Amino acid sequence: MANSNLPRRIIKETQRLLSEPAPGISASPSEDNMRYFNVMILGPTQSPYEGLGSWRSPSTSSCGVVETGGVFKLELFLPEEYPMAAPKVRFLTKIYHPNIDKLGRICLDILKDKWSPALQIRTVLLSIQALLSAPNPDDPLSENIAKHWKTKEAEAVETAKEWTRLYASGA
Amino acid sequence: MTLGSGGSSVVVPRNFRLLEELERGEKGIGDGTVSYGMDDGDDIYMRSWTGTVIGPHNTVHEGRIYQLKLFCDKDYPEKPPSVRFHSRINITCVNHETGVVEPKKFALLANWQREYTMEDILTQLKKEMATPHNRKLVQPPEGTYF
Amino acid sequence: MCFLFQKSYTVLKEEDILHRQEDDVTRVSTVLSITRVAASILLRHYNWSISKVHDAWFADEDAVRKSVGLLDKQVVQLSNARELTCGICFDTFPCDKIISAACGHPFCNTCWSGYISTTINDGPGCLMLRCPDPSCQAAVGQDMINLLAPGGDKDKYSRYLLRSYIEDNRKTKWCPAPGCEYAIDFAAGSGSFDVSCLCSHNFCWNCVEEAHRPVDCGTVTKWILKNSAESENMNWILANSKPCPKCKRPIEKNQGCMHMTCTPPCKFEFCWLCLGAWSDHGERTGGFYACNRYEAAKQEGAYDESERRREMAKNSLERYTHYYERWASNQSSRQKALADLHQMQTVHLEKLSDIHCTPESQLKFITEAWLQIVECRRVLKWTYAYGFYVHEHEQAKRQFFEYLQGEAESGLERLHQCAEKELQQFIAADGPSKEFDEFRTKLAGLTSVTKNYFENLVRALENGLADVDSHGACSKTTSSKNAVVSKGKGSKGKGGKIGGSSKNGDD
Repeated sequence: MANSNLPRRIIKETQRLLSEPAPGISASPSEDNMRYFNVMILGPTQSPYEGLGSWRSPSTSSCGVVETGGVFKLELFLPEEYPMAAPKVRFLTKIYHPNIDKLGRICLDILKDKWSPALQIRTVLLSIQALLSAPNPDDPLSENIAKHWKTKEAEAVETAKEWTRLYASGA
Repeated sequence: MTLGSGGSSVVVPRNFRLLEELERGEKGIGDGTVSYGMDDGDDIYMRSWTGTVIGPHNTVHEGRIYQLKLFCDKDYPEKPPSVRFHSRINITCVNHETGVVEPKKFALLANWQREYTMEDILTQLKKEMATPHNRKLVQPPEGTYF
Repeated sequence: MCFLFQKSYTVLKEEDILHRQEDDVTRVSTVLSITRVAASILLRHYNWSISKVHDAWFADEDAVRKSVGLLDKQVVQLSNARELTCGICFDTFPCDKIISAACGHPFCNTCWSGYISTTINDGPGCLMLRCPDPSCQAAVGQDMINLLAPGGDKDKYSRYLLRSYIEDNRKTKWCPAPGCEYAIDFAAGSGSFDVSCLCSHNFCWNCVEEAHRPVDCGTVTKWILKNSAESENMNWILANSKPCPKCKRPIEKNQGCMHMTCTPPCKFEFCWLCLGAWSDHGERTGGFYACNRYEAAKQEGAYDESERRREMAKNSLERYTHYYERWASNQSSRQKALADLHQMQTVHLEKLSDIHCTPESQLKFITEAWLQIVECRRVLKWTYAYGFYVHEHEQAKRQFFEYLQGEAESGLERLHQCAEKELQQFIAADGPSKEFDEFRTKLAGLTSVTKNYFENLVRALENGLADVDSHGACSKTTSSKNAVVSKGKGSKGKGGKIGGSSKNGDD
């Protein structure tokens, strides 16, 4: 009912997300709201967010659940002004990361002032995946985590791994 | 691109709607006589909220600070949150035993629409305190709780 | 010093600003052989400095083109296809319905319009608009804005461009008066920062506070900060009424000068500042028309040490209060004088001209007197901020300063009284009188003397009272008093004479 008048752009983006998913990313619209997507991102390899059993590099291109962890659930919403305004995204899985807060909100420039209408859901999710590989404690959303990261990086990385094991086990 | 094609067709999902309300509450509303915030900053589903209403002028409630609890379940904002006063108060729409705001006696909850917000609820409750049948009722001592 | 009063700035109206902006764009466009749109983008990028644009361009054109986004060739190869896909809505369009910046990234009309409109409504950042493609730096200039933006947004963009020309340019600023839309172009390296806008607001170019000669910007900032910190203590002073010191009825000050007369039947004459009887105002207060001394007498008395310390704390507030009250009084006096001046120009001059069968052009001396009063009130006001901070430990300078200030104050009170009170009888007169001619001579003379005195005062204070031993400043005033003859005042006479007397002072 709510999906009449869905812009062609959103329909096309959705189709392409489903037919040619980006590696390690899946996004599918919710049944009753085509602007609302369930998203899963696999923690990138060699980051504290990768699945613990995945050093042998299992086929991450499949969107199936990797049992050993490193699967992060997110939600994404395309507001009325999209694509003139950025999509809204947040993590639903708890994650220990200096640019992500307790409510899963993400500090990422292309979601704010660097948004461009030529960007897409796919590029946004790829950027978020890249953010997991390259945390930026100089532009933090969680002050404490950022401080931890800057003063005792090894310890912070261990905490991030621990959280990945505890919360991102693909439940 | 279809600009301005009937804004009502876009439905903001629960969680993003609550994030919007959270940000609005953090910025501060109007004259500050109504405010709210999340109870548990770790709850990713943002269910428990605390609201505050300062009693309106020229009523027995003037200057009193009322604390309320609001609970937004999974079906918010399709369904209204459950609302109860934490601070004791004597007004007609509030259960005298439990502090619960009874939807049957509070039109905003009874005729709930998904566009309504927690701010609307608190603002309306403040107005309720100033209605002729509530403004002069004898009140329990300040600083007592349900 | 002779150039001190030479005007070092230009007031720009909107059409002047647009004109200058156009001229600058034309120059850059001609010299660099680029389009006007490109020239405008370049100038914006280099804060509208033509020389910076030229320097950067001729040093490394490629680097400039790259950072500003002026591509000299397309990055997207044009295909031969007859249809192209818009990079925003993903719909396909015939080639002629697709628009690109210099880079060639294809977007449809509607999406361009939405993109441009969104950016314009986000603020002045739209002046640095780039191609929507996130990897592309190509600049989007005003030609595309005018082609694609909705009507209201085009105007907004033009406003931002105009504002940028003033706000990003180091040589220009908007007049800070509320509602004033003029800008000031200021030539660096001139002596005085005082600027007088066409809207009649006088302000300091450097700190954008109201004009404050002879006090420097630092002192003004300190003083304004002090006032806001003390404002709670000062609230009582700001109340506009005081009880008559004799009959205790509240008196509201509605006239400019400090000589108050209580309403009948009391009619007690007193000084607004010290509430003492006006008849006591003579030598002891620094002249009959003045009340400038801070009474430190209590401190000098036979107090014991603890008593003295208690008094000190109280006195520091009292001391501030003394200066603040006089600063604020002169401020409101000035406001009143401005209103009176306006009333004079719109109502009284015509009336006077009729009564005394004198053309209005011959009544200029009255306007000039009021203009002088307004200016002197401003200077006098700031001498109180000066007095609060300067020379606390330099007894000789301090005394000399107070002497100069007292003289200035009494001179001004004399002029203000003459322009305000003595003029009344001529406005109420039935016909021409010989006294009016005498009045003219007196008022014009007082205006000239006061003007001279204040100009010397300003210079002496800006000079840090360097000639304090020679007493040059005061002897100079006496001599200028003798020299004054009221002349036809066609010119403002701000030239050589003052410069000359200043030179004497420096000796």
